[in-house]
Amino acid sequence: MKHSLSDLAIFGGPRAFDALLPAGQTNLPEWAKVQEMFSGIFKRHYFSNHGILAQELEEKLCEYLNVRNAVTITNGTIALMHTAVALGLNGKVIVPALTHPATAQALSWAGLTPLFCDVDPHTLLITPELVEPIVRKHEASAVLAVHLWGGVCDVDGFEALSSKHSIPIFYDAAHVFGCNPHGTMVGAAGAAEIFSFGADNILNAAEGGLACTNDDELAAVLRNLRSSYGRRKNVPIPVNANGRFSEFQAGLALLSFNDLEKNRIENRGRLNQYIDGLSDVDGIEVRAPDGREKHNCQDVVIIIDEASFGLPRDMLFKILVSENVSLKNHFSVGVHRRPPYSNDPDERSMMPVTDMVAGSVIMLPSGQVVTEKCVEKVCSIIMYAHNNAEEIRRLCK
Amino acid sequence: MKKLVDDLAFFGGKPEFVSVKTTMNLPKPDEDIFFRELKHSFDAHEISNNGPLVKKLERKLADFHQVKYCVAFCSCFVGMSIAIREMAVPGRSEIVIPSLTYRRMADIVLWAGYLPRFCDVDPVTLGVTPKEVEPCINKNTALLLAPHPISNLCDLDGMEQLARNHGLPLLIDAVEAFGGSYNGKMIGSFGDAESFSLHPSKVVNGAEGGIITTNDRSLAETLRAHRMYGFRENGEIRGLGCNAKMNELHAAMSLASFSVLEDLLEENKKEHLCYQEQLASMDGLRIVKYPEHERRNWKSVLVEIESSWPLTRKQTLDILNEEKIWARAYYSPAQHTTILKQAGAGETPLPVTKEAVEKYFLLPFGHSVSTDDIKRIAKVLVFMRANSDAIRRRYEEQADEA
Repeated sequence: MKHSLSDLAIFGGPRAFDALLPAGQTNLPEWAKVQEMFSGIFKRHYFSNHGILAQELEEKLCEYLNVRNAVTITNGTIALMHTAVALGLNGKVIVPALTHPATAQALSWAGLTPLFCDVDPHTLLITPELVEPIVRKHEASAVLAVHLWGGVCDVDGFEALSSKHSIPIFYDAAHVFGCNPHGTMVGAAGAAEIFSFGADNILNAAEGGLACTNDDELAAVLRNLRSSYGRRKNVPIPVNANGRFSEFQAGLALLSFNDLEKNRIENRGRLNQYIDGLSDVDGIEVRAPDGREKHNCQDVVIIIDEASFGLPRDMLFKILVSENVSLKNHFSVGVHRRPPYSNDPDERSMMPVTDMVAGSVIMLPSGQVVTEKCVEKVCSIIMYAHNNAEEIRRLCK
Repeated sequence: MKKLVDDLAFFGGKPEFVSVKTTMNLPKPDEDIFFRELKHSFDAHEISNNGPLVKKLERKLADFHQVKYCVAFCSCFVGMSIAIREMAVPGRSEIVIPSLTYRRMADIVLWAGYLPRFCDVDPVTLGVTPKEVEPCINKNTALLLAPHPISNLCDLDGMEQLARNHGLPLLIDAVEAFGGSYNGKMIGSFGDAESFSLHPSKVVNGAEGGIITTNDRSLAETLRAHRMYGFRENGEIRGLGCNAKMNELHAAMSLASFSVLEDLLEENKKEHLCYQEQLASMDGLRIVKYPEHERRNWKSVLVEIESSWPLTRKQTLDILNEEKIWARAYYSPAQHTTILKQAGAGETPLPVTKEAVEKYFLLPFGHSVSTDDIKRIAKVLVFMRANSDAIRRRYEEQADEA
């Protein structure tokens, strides 16, 4: 508990957390189960190349997501790269400016040019209405939409746009595994949806990606791109790649999948606690999806209104980091403003919502290691910073 | 033991082996070390994003290769593609690579956004020398990529000199040379950077993974940033990035496998010499030898089919494969015949490649092959040699029927 300004670590006080509080989910299964799972791999002496655990995982995820094909790939970014290549795209592809840099980077790696689009101020997602004028003006060859922070895009509206303009739409679904906000599990919309099983996400394969599609031909291309193993049938591909998903990744993901509901409930509990804990702090909005029970609640996102909170986002960020809260700044600048995309002054001026949100967002710690006590502490630091904003600003000068 | 030609599995006999014998090394890592190392990462809740085991692995492998920096990646394929993007001279479009090498090398170049220009190889080492590479250098050349062939090394001194003369970056693909030395100096610090795979088929088994080694600090920092979405230590992004992080599971595997590397190399050498002894008097098959005066990993048994061998390579491999002896053609087909997107297709004569691509193969080796298996494989080859006329006849009859 902070009682005076000198208690803040940024001013030389003791850190609120002795060990670094991780930013992402980092949910881990019980060690005994991990040992058992991995011992099996050693016993079979089969380590990668689409082994039995990778096959089992794909089967389970197909069923859970209610999609015809679920293709495991090294990580989410590489899965996006492979999907962009498998779709045979050329030229420009529309992406939201408010997203993880990897969304745009995957397109660049696939030889495509990202065309940035601003997001809706309420949902923070791109919409068919925002996208359509850009499709017309720039002859985009596809749309890569992003389901962000539990929000899910208007997939029906995008389906109509896709038919109308005859361009494919695919989704970066990295953050929304297990979300079914409208009664339909996210995963089967558009040409493909791509999940991430990186350690920061609710389903943890240490690293991992999954490309889901109801298009069997696209799936065949994705399987052929991944490796020689697990191709099922050989189809022509524009270029070979390596997107293999090892038995260790698959084993961890299977265990993590067993814990999914438990982790989802715990995430929801933490999100609710943050909402309560910060409800009295002016200038802090905790983003919370409607119908929380249908979401994975993995990301705790706050938007800071500097005028009423009293401090700019970057200052609160520094205060929390110095207390040993490991925050990530992946979203703190719109991707349109980041190299190598920041050369076009025309585009930079056109993303007011993205600029506003990116400049005021912080993602707070959640996940297995973040106890009730931790959430309480984080909330109290934010509260303290708000209550003493004026003096903090003065001292920081 | 085969007595009659009909005993060969290809002609309906019982296969020599019950389980397949492959060319993959598939080292068995030390399980205790794996679990002990991984437990630390689990306890620290750091399972990726440049975790403690990745850092430890990078330090160990940098020391081992006597090089300042080692950067770990999710795979050697992606790591090399990133290295090419970061090392190539900006504004140029071509990378010179040999046609006769790892069958996905051109794809690595294409993913980096460049076109491969294929060159020939030296007839003795099957690696590149300036003689083959220099004629392929032009104003579009952005980088030289020199892979070490199996068993031998490419001409490192010559290639370094050539790269300097033309002011071009040199990336050495050292996948096949892990653990080897050149004039007594460990492979790993030659050229501007070197790449190694940690796939189970290689001598260090990380399940999946790869590393790039370099003495260039700025390149190492750029590679580290690129594998993590371009983020620098200070949180800035300066250029294109990707996700090519190695996770802690694979780092733990790599450490557990690296810990038994020296034993494995000793074992490899023993078994390689056993093959050599078994096939010493075999007319028409020549095992490519590793030099005794240098460190080598002895991980592959590369065989040259000489003119006195009475069967074609296809016949030889078809018959062996049916015995569950999964011998494999060496880097066949050559990439210049398979890759559509290439610079200067057909411009460079590739006489050595065209000849070599028809006459080498790899015999099974590694985890699936014991000394006893080697003796049995040799006996099958001896049998094939002794009965070659009948085998050829039967093979052709069978082909006609089909």
